[in-house]
Amino acid sequence: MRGIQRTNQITVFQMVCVLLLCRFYQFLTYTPEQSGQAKGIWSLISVLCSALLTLILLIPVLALNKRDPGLSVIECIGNASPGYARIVALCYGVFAAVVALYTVSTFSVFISSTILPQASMFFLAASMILAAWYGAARGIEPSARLAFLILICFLASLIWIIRGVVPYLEIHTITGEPDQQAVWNFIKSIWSGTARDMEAVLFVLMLPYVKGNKKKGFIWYLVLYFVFSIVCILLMWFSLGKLAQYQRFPFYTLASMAQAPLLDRMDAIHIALWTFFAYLRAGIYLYFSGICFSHFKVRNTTKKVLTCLGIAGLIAAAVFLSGNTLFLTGLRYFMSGGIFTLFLIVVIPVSILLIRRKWDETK
Amino acid sequence: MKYSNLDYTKKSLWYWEYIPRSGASQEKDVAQMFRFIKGKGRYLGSQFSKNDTAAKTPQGFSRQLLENTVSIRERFSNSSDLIIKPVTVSGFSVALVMCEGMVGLQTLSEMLLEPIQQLELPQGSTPEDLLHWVRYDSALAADQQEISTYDELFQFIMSGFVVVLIDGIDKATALGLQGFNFRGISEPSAEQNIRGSREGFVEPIRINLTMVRRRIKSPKLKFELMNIGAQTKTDVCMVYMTDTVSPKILERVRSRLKKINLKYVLESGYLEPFLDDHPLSVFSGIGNTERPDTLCAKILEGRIGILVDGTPFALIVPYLFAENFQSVDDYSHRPYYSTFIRILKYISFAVSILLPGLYVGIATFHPELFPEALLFNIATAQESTPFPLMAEAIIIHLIYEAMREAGLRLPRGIGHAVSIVGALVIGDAAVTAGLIGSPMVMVVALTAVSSFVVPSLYEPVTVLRFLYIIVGGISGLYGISLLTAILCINLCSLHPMDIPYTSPITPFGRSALRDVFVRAGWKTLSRHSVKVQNMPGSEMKGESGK
Repeated sequence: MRGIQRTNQITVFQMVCVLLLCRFYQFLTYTPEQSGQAKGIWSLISVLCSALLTLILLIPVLALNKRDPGLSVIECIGNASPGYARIVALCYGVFAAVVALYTVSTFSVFISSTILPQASMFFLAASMILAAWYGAARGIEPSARLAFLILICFLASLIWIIRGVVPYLEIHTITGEPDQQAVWNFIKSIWSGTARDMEAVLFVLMLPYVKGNKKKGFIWYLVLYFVFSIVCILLMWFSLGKLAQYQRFPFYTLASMAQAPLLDRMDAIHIALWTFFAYLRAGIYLYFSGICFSHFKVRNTTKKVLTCLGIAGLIAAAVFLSGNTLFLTGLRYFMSGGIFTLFLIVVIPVSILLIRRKWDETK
Repeated sequence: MKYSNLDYTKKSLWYWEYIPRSGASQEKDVAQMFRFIKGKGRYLGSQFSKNDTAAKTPQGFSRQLLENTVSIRERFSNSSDLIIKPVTVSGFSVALVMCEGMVGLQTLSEMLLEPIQQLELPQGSTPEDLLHWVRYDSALAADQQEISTYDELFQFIMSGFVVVLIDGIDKATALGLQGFNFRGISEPSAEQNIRGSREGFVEPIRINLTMVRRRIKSPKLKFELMNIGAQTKTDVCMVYMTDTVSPKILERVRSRLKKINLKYVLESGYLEPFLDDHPLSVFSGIGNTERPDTLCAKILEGRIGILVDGTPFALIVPYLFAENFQSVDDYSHRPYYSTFIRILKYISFAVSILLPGLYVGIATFHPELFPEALLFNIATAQESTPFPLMAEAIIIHLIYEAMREAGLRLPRGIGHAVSIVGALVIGDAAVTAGLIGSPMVMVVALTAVSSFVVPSLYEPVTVLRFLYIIVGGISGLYGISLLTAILCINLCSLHPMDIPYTSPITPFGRSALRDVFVRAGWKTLSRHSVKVQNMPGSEMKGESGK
């Protein structure tokens, strides 16, 4: 199975754009409950440490990719243990589908609580999932190319936000309040930041579709995200202050404050741009979910039926989650807990490495 | 075919009714019904294939001139435009076959009739000697072809040739003495410019070939002629530079053209779906032009031009998105002005698609985005009109499209009246009557003007405009963003001839900085030779012919 010719390949630069875009989405719909416990400047340092921890945790995956370049994690184990390969495919496929579902649900909640309160959850969820399905059907390459354009637009909007928020900045100390459990909270923040980095799993899924130095690309992604995080966190601190902790969507509040001479409220325009983020993120994760599930051999007719049922199921689940914030919060806690992420980026690749070594020895 | 279990009340080729007997199973009856229809279909198919087979075998001439002329009249259905002129040349019976109106009478008289009338072959000459004289010893016509079948004869006489048949020989000679009337070379109506050539293609393909040849005086320029259309046998010509074109793209275009199975080809647009990799997409990877200078510029970048006899519109393969915003004028004006016009075109394209939808969406769902003074005016206009904003936008745009189409089809004299009525109806009467608001009139006017800035994208713009109005009216900026995302994904997924449609915007290439959003000066442009197969993201990079 070495050297599978893939027609849908992207460059490292496009990979970085996709990862950044998917990660930025989390920031746009960030809620204070998601934050780690570290206070003040330690929260900034925890972002850096969680990036380093993510990189360390990806070592098994990079080793696996070095051993079998051009093959996905599932294909690496395909010949050695077809049964285990199906389990691995199922795990990654379900994870990607759940992330897509989570993206759609959170964005539906975000939209309905900001610019479209009168819209029904069914309409928001169904339109986003069907549109994302179209994007997934087109492949990873168009989405990656569009990601570059969206990032350019987002950078322009970020500069606009900074320009609009500058009059409201109050530089004050960022040491924060005294914290008796500072060390433990700092560690929890690091783990929370790593666990929320679902894009590490996306990186694992994207590996066979990327041409070039992927490790370097992932480091660039971590660096750029760190810079962005620092800028946005500082903006929120210095302009919103403690109000940021009580806002449902602090970044949205920040964007609302940025005004232009002709247009008083530009938050709707920002949200229109952020719709691209949700669309691309859902589409990319749906695409890889489909790739994982395609490893199960079924007839074409059955495949079409299952795809339609899957989309209908996702819509139903998204509507349910969007209307029940308790379940959505529970899902968020589960995804942010890190167990699933750890399992997918560490446990599975390590187990595959061990199985492959044993299989190669017995061959 | 047994169907004794069924009683037919009415049985024909197209439909039948049956009453199943009691006790017969429904499934068996249905299976027999499908077998019956299948058998009918097979019978009809065999009839059609027999006719096609009979038409495919070409029949050659006989040595008897009389037999040939009788056969020609029969095959031509005794059409009144067929002329068969019998003449005697040095004692030999000769027939000149031509179509009326196709041949230049003066050319015919000077180049053919006079020389053959004056010909005196030595005694003892044979018909072969006469044929030899016609083919090699005389200069009756620069373009001569030897033909031996009736199919070839009809193709040549219908292309304006004169066919010379000699008694005693089973071959004929076709002489190119065309003299049919055609529209003079004039400025193309759809692609006017301020500074540049005023020549446009015309209907006869041979004239168009000379226009291209005059502009590219290189032996590497190649014309490849073929016939497409079982009944029309239309001349189609591929034009390309042998040292620049990608051999893979060339072979792909050639094979697709050869596989076209149409009965008639009357316009270049008939061929487009067969050449396009994504015929169902809103945007096309095949371009068209009426201008020979535009076609030459595209050919010199490694593209393939396709000229079709009978139409002045040439096809360009492949055609990328950014080329819709480029025009010949851009390269004649100074860079700063060309850049300004280029950016204006991109803005106009966005305005023509998005403005009506944005207006409807923002006014309905996000009125807080409008400045206060404008908001009051819009609200006042909205209060006085009976229809929702989305319906108003759709109605007024439909009226505009109907009037535009009417103005296009009507004679010029009446077309002016349509313009006046349109201005009165849309501009004044509808607003005064309170049917639509005056801001909507402004939106329609701006949209209409913007859509004509990029005429090559008029078709997708028109359809997308309505989609945006509907989506904006239903879900505001959220729906507009989602639709834009889908549209962008669609654009990014198009790959005409394996070259990304949005190249070099994305995948990004430095040529995007030179000749896409801006137009760099000629000193910069001349340093880099552009080949379409070398665009960023292309799978044909590095390939070129010899």
